[in-house]
Amino acid sequence: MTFDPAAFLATAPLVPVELAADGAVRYVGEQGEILLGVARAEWLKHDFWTSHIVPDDQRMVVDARAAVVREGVPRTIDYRIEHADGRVVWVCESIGRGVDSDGSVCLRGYLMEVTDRKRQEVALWKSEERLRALLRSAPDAMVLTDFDGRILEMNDQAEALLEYRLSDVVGSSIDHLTPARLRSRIPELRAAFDRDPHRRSLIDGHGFAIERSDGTEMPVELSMSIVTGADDSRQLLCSLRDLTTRRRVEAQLRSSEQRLREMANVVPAMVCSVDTEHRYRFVNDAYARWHGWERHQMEGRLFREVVGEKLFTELSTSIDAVLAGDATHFRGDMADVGGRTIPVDVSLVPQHGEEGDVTGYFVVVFDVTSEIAARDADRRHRDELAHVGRVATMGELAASIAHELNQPLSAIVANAQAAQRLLGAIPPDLEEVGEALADISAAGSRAGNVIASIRDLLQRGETRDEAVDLVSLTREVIDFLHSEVVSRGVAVAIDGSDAIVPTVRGDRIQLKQLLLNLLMNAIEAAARSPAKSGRVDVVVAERGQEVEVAVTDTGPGLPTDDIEDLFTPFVSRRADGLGMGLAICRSIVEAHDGQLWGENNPGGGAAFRVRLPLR
Amino acid sequence: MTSLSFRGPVAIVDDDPGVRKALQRLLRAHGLDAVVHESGMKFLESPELHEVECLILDMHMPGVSGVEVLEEVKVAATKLPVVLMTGRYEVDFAQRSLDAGASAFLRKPFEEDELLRAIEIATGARR
Repeated sequence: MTFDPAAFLATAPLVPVELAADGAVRYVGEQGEILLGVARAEWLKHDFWTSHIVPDDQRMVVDARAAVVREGVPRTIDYRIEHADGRVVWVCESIGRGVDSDGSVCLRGYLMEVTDRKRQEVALWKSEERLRALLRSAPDAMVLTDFDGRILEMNDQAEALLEYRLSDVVGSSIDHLTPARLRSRIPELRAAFDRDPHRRSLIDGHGFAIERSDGTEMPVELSMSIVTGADDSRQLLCSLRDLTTRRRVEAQLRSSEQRLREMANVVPAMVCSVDTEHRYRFVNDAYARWHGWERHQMEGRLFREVVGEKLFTELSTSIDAVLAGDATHFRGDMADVGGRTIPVDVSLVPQHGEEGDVTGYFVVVFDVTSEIAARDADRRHRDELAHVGRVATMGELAASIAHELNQPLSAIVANAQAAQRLLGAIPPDLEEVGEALADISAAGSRAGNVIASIRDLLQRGETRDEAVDLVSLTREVIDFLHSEVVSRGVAVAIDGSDAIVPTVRGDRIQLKQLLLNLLMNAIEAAARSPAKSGRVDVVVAERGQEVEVAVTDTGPGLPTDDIEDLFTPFVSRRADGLGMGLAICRSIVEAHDGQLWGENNPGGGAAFRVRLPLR
Repeated sequence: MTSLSFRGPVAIVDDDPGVRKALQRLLRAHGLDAVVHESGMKFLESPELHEVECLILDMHMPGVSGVEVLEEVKVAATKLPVVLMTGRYEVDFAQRSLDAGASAFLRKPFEEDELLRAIEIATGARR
């Protein structure tokens, strides 16, 4: 059988055409009627192309044909043309330059409908575009290779990570991006992937790396998945994640945890970290030693098992609080394995996870034995100083105290001798004797009170913590100072409402000493009043959550340059003063969580104010 | 001494009620007419200023002191003998009392005999 071109052309889906150099159709095959559903006569019309080719494609068609005429090189162009039924069909025109019998240039070729192929191409193009778009937008470095590992495409992230440009590596094997020492592993990886080709992380970064253009290695996490290329070929999409940052963070975490452990071992405290299941995550050496364990023996063990049921129950409120996110703090006693008990200061501090959730808690236990001993010693020194101060005060008041005792003694002696005389009378005045005896008894009590006050102030004792009514205490002190007040020729008044009873907690003797010192100073100052008669006023009043005792005098006032100096030991306003009074007062007030300060009154004279917390 | 030749009315001025009452009781037990005042001012304003023949006066009193009262007494009733008392320990008390114009002085607490002797010395009943 021989090839018959005419028969072939008559049956093949090809439309032979001959065009004038300007593109006008001079001849069209019969199949043209099938291709576009228009009669051949229609094709020969002058405006055939412009009325049928889709406007967007007309320019391209005209230019291509002109190029063929000009250059004589055949071309194949695809363009869209309207079918009579309104469809748009894709046409592939293959055309070359010919010479007519009259010598003029013409174009000859054929048209073929390629609508189906075009549609597929567009679809493929679109899917590949999508893949590339995806590639470009992926946060990871992505490299697309064919199934043999030849690089087809990579995104900007990959270019940046590998420090290669796509144009430099396209077509070369991805193996070249792998450090030489690791290349031998590639077949094994690929085989594993072939056996189970779904997208997964192949290598978690422990040991796998890529080599950049400058020869440096970088640890990466590699995962691959299969995609279908535009030509139906299987391609590999490789995703590379830089692990240097993650590794660095991991390393930092490891070293910071190590640092934490080392630090926890050098702090002078017992430290442990407990999880929400109450198991030890971590303990320091001191903590383990105290409980008689080795560190590694404790981690993972239950907290309640180690500290004991009793202490765990005592701690339960604090543990609930810390698990709710609140740091708690308390003081208590703790026993070691040998039964030795020490006073401790315990802090429970919540540990937070990345989401802010409580993942456990730290227990930090400080041994406060020496702190308590120091505080005790401090208190003892203060007590001793206060005592010395009181003894000194008694010395200063000796004359007044003698007077306070001499008054009732005088009354007792006179009454007793009067009674003797009354008993010797005839008849004896027994009624008057009875009254004399009652007066003796009252005077005896009064002398007894003076002695009791002296004994109070001279006694050396432990600091007490009791409720003290400041108004009645102030009255006691004013009574005690009666002779002093009289001999100094001043007036002392107290203004404290009886309706309110401002009570504070503290040591009654020390507070009495405080008031005594302030009043003695004020009386002494008032005796030097510029005015004829000196005055001291004491006002006891509540101020919010505090009680204020204000002792004001009409004396010459305080030196204005530095009133605070007066509270320094051995600084005195008086020529005969030791200068300890106000220093002791300040220390007493501070031991009672209060404040003491001095100031000058606008109208002259000084005022000393004490503020103590209400009980 | 158990008896007193001086008979005249006496005033006692002391701010301490226990003391003035006890002294009044003792002097009355000795048959003396004794009145009491709680302050020098009250005594100075009272008719007793010119009626009594002896004043027993406390040195340390609030407001007007014994020495100030004594000065007033010397102006108002120059002849009235005064016994000054003190409950304080004062080295120069004797001298100060005499300088102020007192006729005798007493340190509290004192015995009955000391009191009576001081009154007698002050009033000249005893030489």
